[in-house]
Amino acid sequence: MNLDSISAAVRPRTHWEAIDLGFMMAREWWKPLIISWIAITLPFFILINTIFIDHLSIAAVIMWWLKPLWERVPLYILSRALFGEIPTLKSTLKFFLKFFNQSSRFQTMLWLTLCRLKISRSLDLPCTQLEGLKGKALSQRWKLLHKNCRDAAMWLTLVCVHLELFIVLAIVVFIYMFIPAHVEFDFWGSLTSQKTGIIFCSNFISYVGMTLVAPFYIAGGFSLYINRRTQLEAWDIELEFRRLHNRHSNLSSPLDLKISKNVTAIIFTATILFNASHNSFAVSAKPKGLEFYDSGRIMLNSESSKKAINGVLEGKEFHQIKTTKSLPALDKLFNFEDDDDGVNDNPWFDWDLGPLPDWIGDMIMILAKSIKGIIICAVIALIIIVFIRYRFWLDYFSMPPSPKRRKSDPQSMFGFDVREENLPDDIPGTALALAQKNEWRSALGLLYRGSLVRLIAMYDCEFKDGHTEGDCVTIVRSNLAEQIGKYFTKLTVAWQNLAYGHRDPDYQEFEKLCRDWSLNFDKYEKN
Amino acid sequence: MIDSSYSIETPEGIDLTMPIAGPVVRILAYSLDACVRICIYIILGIGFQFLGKVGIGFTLITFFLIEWFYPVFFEVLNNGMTPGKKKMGIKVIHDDSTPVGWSASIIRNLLRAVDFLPLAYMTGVLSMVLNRQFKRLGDLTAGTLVVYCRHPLETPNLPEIEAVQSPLPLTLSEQRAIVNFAERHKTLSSDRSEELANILNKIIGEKGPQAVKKLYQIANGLLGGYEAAKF
Repeated sequence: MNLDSISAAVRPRTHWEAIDLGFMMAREWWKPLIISWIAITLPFFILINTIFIDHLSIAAVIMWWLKPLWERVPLYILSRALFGEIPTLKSTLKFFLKFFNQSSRFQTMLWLTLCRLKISRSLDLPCTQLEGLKGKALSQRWKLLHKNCRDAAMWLTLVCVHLELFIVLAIVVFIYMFIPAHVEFDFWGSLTSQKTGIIFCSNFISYVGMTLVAPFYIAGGFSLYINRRTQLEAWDIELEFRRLHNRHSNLSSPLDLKISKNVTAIIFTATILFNASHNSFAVSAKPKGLEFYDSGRIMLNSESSKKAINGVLEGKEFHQIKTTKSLPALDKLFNFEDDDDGVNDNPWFDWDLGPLPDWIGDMIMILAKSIKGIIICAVIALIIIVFIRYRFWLDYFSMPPSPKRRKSDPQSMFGFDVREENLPDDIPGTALALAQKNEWRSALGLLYRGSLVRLIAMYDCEFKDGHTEGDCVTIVRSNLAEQIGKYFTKLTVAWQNLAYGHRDPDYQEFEKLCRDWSLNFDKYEKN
Repeated sequence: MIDSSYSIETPEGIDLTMPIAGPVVRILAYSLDACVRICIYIILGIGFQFLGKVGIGFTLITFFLIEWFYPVFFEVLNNGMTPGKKKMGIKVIHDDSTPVGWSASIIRNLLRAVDFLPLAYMTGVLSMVLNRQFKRLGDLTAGTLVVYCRHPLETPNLPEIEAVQSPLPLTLSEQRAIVNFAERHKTLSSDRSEELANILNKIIGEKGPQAVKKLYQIANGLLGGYEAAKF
């Protein structure tokens, strides 16, 4: 066994993945597997069926009982092919005929007698056939293998048994499907009759089923076996270590170094020469290494690829016209009232409620009517909900939006009346006049109240009744322009100092606040 | 090289590899699902029996719905896994490895009617065996793929030993092999471990048990134990 020549990806897998890999192997080497199987089993099949021509079912049982013997063949091929050497038909035949030799007599007898009904056969076969184990060593080996993949082997066997059965049945049904409907032929009756020809056919069909399934079954089991050995003996690590060893010895040997230097030099010269033969700038401007790499295949440049693309675009595939026609049957289905023949032949509503007690019929009718009512209500409700939910879409049609006072806008905030109606027209002017009369509290209060009202009306600030002055500042600062935010903060601080701290503002400062108020809030025209 | 992995390259140049699930595991998953469905049918059938002929009508309607939409429902809403698939550790995805969507799932399950022919999904099995990615006709039509679910990576279980730096730079696969070697220190027999370590005799300059030990140390070093040892 030479691990380096293994032709499947080696790594520890789960059991199911291992079985899948086995199926892939069987597909890969399908031809040698099936040919040698047929070459060996078909002659025997014909022979045994002619011998037991009067008792054909015995022939079928013998054929089935000898299965482990036949399965030596796919296993032999798979075990060779996995390591890179697909055996010829001749060598396979030679191997098969040795089944009763000194060396393989034991395993043949074992599998045909004691272990014939063993459910993990596919996994266990390789131990006897490939490793040639016997007695205690064999049972130990099996124990080790079974430790965690016996279940998978068992399921593989169960699935394959059923597959074989279903293939046989499927072939029979397939034949049945091809008997025309008007031919009067009792297919199933004739199947169960005990005619020799029929039994022979059924024998042959089961033989076909066996032939189709066996390579996959054996490959699945073999792959499980290989996977278990990969786990136990770390084949993947061995492979990788060998590669590392080779790489290392290549690196360190001076001769190899010289060769690799020479190769580099050759590649370098070739690159230069290659580029020198192209004078055009466009070509030599490309990365040189890439070009050298491509030169082995087809030279790629934009002109030739454009040509190729145009060639493809002009092809037949892009100039096809397809005519599609709809099914008239569908139209009929949806317009079934039109072809009314006078009789109520519409099967959809023709419920025969005859044998049912009347009350059930009544109940169903009531149920149907109430469901109808519910559906109608639901549709109406849906329309209303959609209308309410998306009514703001209507605003897009009525431009420009009028700055209406929203319902949720508060009427008063921390004791202030914040209704627009109760404010003087010239807020800063009135405030300044009040300030001159030294009525600081009402002056600053007016200014602050005015700004709250404008913030609500002009800038749609979502103040609520329960908000504090600080909350208002936060809302303004996070939603509006920085300038307004700064101004409003200043105003709030001044107001808080007066209201809670009883400190009157400076007259200069107050004047500035009034001026800035007009800047920030006076753009709004009352309508 | 025969391998049951399917790999797809993302636009970012990352290779995603997924092991494709083959016929046996899929048949088992299907059988589990069939058992679940049959249980539901039996319970519903008994329940509807009391309604007489109308009950038969209801039974047939629910059978129809469950038979056709049970897999669709679970595949789309449960990350590509029906209960049977979940038990077997496989799932349905799109060809480009995105989670399966409504249209693909509905198509692949409607096509079960074709895969069933002539009996017991034999067309489907045949198609799976012939196709390189184990696709049945429904998968081919819908552009879906059945793959194994990836298990979350476990923390490597290395022998506790002082970490050492590798004597020469290693490629990724070589690093992996050495770490794997150390990870399997419990399952590999000591003879086999020595045999494997002796292959690298020239590189690590040791033989026998010493070589095994050295490799464990290098593995520890590769996984960052080298830094950890300093603190």
